[in-house]
Order: sequence, then structure tokens, then C-alpha cells
Amino acid sequence: MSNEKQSSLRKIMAIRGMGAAITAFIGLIVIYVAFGLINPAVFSGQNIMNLLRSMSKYLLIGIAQSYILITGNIDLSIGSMVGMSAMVAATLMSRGVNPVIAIVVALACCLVCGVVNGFLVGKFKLPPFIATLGTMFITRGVAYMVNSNRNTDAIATGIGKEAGDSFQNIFYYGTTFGVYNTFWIALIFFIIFFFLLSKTRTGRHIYAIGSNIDAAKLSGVNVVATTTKAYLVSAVCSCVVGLILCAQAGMGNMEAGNMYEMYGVAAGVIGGVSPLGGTGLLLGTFAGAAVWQTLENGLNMIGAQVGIQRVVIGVIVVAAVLLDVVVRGGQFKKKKGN
Amino acid sequence: MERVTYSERGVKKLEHFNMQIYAGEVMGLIPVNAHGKQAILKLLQNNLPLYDGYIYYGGELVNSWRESSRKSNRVSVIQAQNRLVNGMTVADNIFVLRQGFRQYVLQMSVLKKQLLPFMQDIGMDISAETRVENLSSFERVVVELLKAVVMGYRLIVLDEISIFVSGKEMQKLFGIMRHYTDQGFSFLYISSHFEEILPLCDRTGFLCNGRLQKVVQKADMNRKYLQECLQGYDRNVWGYPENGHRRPAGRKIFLEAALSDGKKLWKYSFYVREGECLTIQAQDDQILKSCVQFLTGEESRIVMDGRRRKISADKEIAVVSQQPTLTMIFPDMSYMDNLCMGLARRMPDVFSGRKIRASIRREYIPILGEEVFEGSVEGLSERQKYQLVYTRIILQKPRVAFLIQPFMGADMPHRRFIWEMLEGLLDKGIALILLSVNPLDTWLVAERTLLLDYGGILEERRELEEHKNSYQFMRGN
Repeated sequence: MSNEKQSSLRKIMAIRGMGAAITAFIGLIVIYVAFGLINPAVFSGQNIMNLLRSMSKYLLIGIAQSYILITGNIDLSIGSMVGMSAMVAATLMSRGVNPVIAIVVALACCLVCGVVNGFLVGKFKLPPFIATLGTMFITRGVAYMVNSNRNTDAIATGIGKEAGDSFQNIFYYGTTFGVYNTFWIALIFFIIFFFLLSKTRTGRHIYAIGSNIDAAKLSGVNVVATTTKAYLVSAVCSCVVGLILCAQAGMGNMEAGNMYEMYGVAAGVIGGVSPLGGTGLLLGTFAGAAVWQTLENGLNMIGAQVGIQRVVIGVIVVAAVLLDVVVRGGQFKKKKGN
Repeated sequence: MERVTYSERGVKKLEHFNMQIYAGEVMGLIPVNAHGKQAILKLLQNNLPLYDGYIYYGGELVNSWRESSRKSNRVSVIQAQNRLVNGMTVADNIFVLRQGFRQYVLQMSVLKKQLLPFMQDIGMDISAETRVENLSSFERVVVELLKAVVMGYRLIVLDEISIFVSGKEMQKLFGIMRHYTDQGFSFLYISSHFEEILPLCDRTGFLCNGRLQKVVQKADMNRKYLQECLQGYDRNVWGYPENGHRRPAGRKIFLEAALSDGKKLWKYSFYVREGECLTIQAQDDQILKSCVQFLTGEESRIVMDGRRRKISADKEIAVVSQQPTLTMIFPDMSYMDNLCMGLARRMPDVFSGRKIRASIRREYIPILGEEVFEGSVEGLSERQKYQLVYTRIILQKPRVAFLIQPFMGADMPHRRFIWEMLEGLLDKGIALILLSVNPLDTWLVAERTLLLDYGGILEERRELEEHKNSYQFMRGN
């Protein structure tokens, strides 16, 4: 029995990226406890609730960017898609359109952007940095244009206070079983996309493209379709984050989601998703998003300046990437040595 | 190289290794196994720390166990990997990109004039202004060779070049090499085919387990001697036609494909039988490249039994690229996931189905061993990686498998192992189509060979008859 347990433990640890994910979780606990010892309010129930809610945005963005990073690409348009989703949904709702229709339209806009990204990168072989830089500007432009270059009015002015409150409660302020809905939404998407990545053929194809794209092609992997699927996941997550931001503010802000694509990279990389592609677990992204938010929250609570917060987070991201490069470099040398 | 012992990460790559290459000679090297070959190439080029021994270049001691400068020697190595800078011209690569080039303002007319006598000497006509990516593989080898000559490198190593240079071009290259040996240049010619080495090399060494087992003079390289010193090789390779069994002919599969030479589309029709091994021998490297592009292209389509199919997506077609242990492995995925990549075309839920995976594991543990399923794919031996790639094809069960230069980069034991794996695929009734430029690589396993050029299939050969004759010649019958 003990041998069986050891064997399953070995199997779990043998999963690529599991080590990094566990390291990120250990780091999370250390950071959380350290901040808690400095300021015990960090341990309070309300703070934990707030922490989970704030973390949810980063988790969704992290999932979005992790999918893309695992394919060996990057998506710079995530933040702009968040802004577009928030603005499209808020503009429609502030003009009296049913929230469900507004959500569907916002989702459709993001999916179009995801398909365009997927085709530019997968089909037309544009460098992902350039392709998504282009769509980043386009989608941000759409976010500006959709309400004639100004933020929207409160959504309640269009759909009424009751519907507006419901929308805000579902996505941000409401709770279920004592935990904010935002977290439950993020958790549901996490479970769905975790399953997709780790248990389905599409998931394996995503890893295969990032690991060895030529071998993937020869093994019958449809690179265009798989790349597009990854960008679609990114689009869906971005849309949901846009809706969360819209619900949080009760209106649409043209600058919503600014820099979120980089937060996504940070969450993924801290959690062990390799920016070189092929490796990473969404479990790690979960830990990465939590580390990111705990740092922000903890530094805030101990009264650190915003500048210091950015510096600390930046150093951690660089350290995580450096670790990945060193580990991969070691493996590469070992392979060459053989 | 005198009594050289060299280790990497605690593994002895060379042990008491002795080799002399004289000025103006072509030394042949047959790697009976690959152990130590890379180390020789490294030590010839760079003076790395030695555990024991001495290395001399041009009569001077350049490296010893006492002191290693880590500096480079004036030795050029020409391999399948391109060492020229793409995007730049032949003249730039030969003259400008070298130490000691002092001209600040570049004049193409001057460079052209400088290159002309070199080209005339060897009877080649490669324009100085040609960009190197537009050269054929043979021309690329010649340009690398000229670069070495211009740089004054007295020793030039040619490593397994017959895998990408056709037989006709090899004859021309041998002539060029002889031209330079007359001028005092020396060559180390590494090849697994002694049929190639026999007519070319003045002396030949047999590398085995990091040691030079035997060095034979050209005059001694007669049939009788080869029979004696290559008994193992003889038994395994030349004995193959006797040992290898032939299967009853299966159903014919008709194929139609179209290749582009950049200007025109050429159509080809041929057939292969189920369980038959067919070699498609490209006349030159350009047509081989076209074939590779066709087979690996995402949108390429082939007509099989009258139905147009997308090669990359069709479950009845498999493609194994060259050097599959490097190109067909997913280093970040588990062994089981690697194994199931082909099967996923037939069973989309193989990655989530625990029962299927457990059953595959049970079925293949006796063949592949249990340990391969545990560790990382990168940690597998070369043999295990070959086994992984070919077992993946067996699991996919295609009707036709295209294998692009399956023996490229493999040493003797691995060649034999690849033959066994190919036999395994044939036993399953899979039709194999091997793509190659060198007939020596594939003639022992293939039953027919189609000679391919732009414009059409030039000739069909029945290999069994041919290598039976060669076999009888080597055996002295």
C-alpha cells in the first residue's frame, strides 16, 4: 500500500510543471503567513474574502495567457479585450439592452478577436507578438469608439436599478455560500479549462504545439485549429473579466483592463508556465494568481508604496522566468551531453 | 591524436584513442557505433581539457592532458547542418565572414574575381552573388569546402554527407577532394557505408566504443579482409537478404502526388502494396526537399485509392521525419502521451480514457519495458526513442507510412534496430515508403526503388535482385 502511495506520488511529481506549481503554492503560504505576522488583519475573514474576489480577475487572465504561453505564443490583446468587453456590455446595458444580450454581444466581439488572433498566428504565421499587438490596438480602439470616446453612464440608467443590481451582484458584489460570486465564476472557468487542458485531446494538442510544433504537425495535429482554440479560450476569459470589471464599477470604463495581459503573463510564469511553450499547469497559474494578489494585498496592508509593490512583483516575475530558463538550459545541456 | 582519453560528465567518450591523418590523404572513418564520434569532432575543432593524451596539428602540440588552451584549431567540419550564413551571398560567406578579412569597403566585382579561380580549379560554376539559401546541398558543401580552403584550414572533416548528397554529386565531390589532397589538404571522411569509403580513402579506421579498433590501408581493403574484419557487419547487414523474410504481396494502394520545382507542378502516380517496402530515391537534394515539403506541409494533399486526402490529418497516412529521435519527440510530454499522439487520430478520447491507457501500458510493457513509462522522455536512450516513434506508428495503424531518410544519423547498431522496427511495421501490413537520396541506406530493406526526378519517375528497380548480386560479389561467390 505504501509502495502504491509512493508510486502515485512519484507519478504526480513527474508531471511537467508540477514542481513549479507546488513551489508557487509553498511560496504563497510563506508570503501569506509573513504578511499575516506583520499585520494580523491579513488573516481576517473579510480580508480572505476580498483576497479571493480580487484574485479571481488575475486567475481568469492567468488562464487566458497560460493557454497561449503553453502553445509557445503570447497574447497582448487580452487587456484590450477586457476593456472592449466591459465597454460593449456597459454601453448596451446603459442604453436599455437586456443584460443577457449585452453579454452575448460582448462575448461575440471577443470571440471574433480570438479567431482573428488564431488565424494570424496559426494560419498566416505572423509573429504572435506583432499579430496580437495589432489586435490590442484595434480592440482598444473599439472600446473607445463604442460609446463615442467616453466612458458609459451607469448601467442602471438603461436597464433599471433592479436589473443593474442583479448584474452587479452576479458578477461582483453577491455571495454564494459566504464567498463572493466572482470567485465561484473564476473557479468554474478554472475547472472547465483545467479539464480541457489536462484531460482532452485538444489539451494535449496545445501542449504538443508548444513542445515541438513540427512533430505536432506530423502527428496530425491541426495547428491552425488548435492555436485558434487557445486564443478562443483567452478571448472567453478576457470577456468574463471585462464583465466583472463592468459589474464592479457599474459602468463601462474605456481604460478597463489596461496592462492585464502582462498580469496574465506574470500569473502564469510565477506558477511555472513556461514562456518558451510546452510546459505548465493551470494549477500553477492558480497559485501564481494567488501569489500576485497576496503580494498586492499584503504590501497594501503593511502600507508599502505602490512603487515598491511593482518592484517586488517585477523581481518575482524575473526570478520565476530565470528559474525556468535555467532549468530548461540544464536539460538542454544534458541532452546535448548524451 | 595520441593516446587521447576524453570524458564528458563522467562518461569516457574516447579511451586511448590514436589517429594520425597525414598531409594530402583522405582518411576514412567508419563508426561501428556512434560512441565517441562527436567527441572526435569536438576535439578536432576545439582544444578541450583531456584526461590523458596529446593532440597535434600540423606537427605542433595544440592540446594535452597537461594543458588545454580551449582555443579552436584550424579544422573545418562539414555536416548536414548548414554552417553558412543564410541571407548572405556565397562571396560574403567565403571571403567576408572570416578572420583576417581587412577590406572595409566591399566590392562585389573584386570578390567575384577572387572567387573565379577557385571555381575554375574545381570545375564548378556557382555565382558569387548567389544567396546561400538558394544553393543545393551539394553546392553548399562545395562552398563550405572552399571557405575552409580559403581560410587555410588544412584538415577538412566530411561527416555523413551522403545522406543529403546524391550518388552522382558524390562522384564530383570525390574529384574535388582529390584536387585538394594533391595540394596538401587532408580530409577525414566519416561514413557508415564502406561502399563509399572503399574507392575514396587512402586509409580507413573503424571506430568502436571510443577506440579506433583497426586502421586499414587502401591496398588491404580487399574483399577477403573485409570479410574477416567485418564479420559482425557481414552477418547482420550482408546476411540480411538471407535472414530477412519477405511477406506475401498485399493489396495495391494507388497514390498520386504533385511536387513543385518552384515553377511547375509535376504529377506522379505510383503504387505500393500493403506490407511492402518501397524506396523513393530522389535524384538530387532539391527534389528530396520538394518531397519533404510536400509530406510535411500542413495543407498538402495526396490521392490515395482515388480519394483526395490531407496528409497531416488523415489517419490512414503517417509521416516520420528525418532524425525522428530529435524531431518527432515531445520533450515536455509524458511517454504515454507521446505514444498516444498517433492513436488519438483514431480514438479522440485516448487522453482522458484511463482504461485505454492502462490497456496500452499492459500490452506494451513486455515490449517497451516498464521503466520508459516512469521517467522523462528526454532521459530515454536513443534506441528507446526510436522504439517510441515507431510504436506510435504501430498504434496509429496507418495503411501507408512515409519515412523520410529513416537511417539518417544512425550508427550501425541503430541501423539494425531501425531495420527491425521497419520489419515490425511491415508485419502489421503497413505499406512503407522510404524517402532517400542514397541507395545504400535503404536497399537492404526495400523491395522496389523508384528513381524520382522533376518530370516523372525515371526508373523502377527491383532491389532484391540487385543486392543479391552485390551480396554475392562481397561474399566472393
